[in-house]
Amino acid sequence: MFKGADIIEDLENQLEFLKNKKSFLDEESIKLPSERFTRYLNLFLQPRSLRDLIEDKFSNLSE
Amino acid sequence: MAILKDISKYLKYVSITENEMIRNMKIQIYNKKRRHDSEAEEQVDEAAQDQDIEDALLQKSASSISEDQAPEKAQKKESHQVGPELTAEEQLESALEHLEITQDEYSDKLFELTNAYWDIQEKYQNQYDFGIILLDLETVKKQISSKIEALISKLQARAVSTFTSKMDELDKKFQFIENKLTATHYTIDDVLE
Repeated sequence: MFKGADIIEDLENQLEFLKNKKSFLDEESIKLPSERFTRYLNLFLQPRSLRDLIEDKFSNLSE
Repeated sequence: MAILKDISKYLKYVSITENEMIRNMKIQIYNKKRRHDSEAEEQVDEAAQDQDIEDALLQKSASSISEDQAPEKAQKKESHQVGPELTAEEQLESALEHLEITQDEYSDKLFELTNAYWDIQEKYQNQYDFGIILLDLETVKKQISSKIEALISKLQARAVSTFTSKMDELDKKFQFIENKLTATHYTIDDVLE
């Protein structure tokens, strides 16, 4: 496993925690401003994008 | 006038500020936490007493430990009760400062406020005609309702703000790692860092 994997995993856990907080807001019918909501959604793309970046780095190193 | 007495219980929402409401919520959480902690302590003590005779030796050592701790507990309790009032207040203030409002507490308060809002709207008429007395509650109802609405929206805004600050925190962490990954590295050590 590469060195950054556990860091990304930890961030994913924090993302799950945030998701839980968002569910609470939804339950209470509390809406986020649209710009904030977009940023919230974008956060979920981050782990994949970081993993890709890390893979790229390592593949460049091995070449 | 039973109606006046009844509606007066909602006047607390008119006089309370957002900060006071938040403080009260935090105090409730703090008290719940303290109650929970003391209950847990009692349960531990009871469990120690209920141990089987087969575990006599273990029990003996457990009781000797609890005896050792007893003076500490007593001291702790004493310091809570006998300590100077200002210190206790300072302790409370410091605890409240670092206390985060729980989701349950948010839900309970929002539920309470929403209920109060609809009670005011539905339970009371705008006017009561008692013959020689005409009781006009329209203004009072409006004042209480609008104050409750304001408290609800402030509480919701606070929940959003707490959420977005956590979101920003996480976003920063992602950005930090992304910056590290996209930065130009000159050595293998830089990459592995």
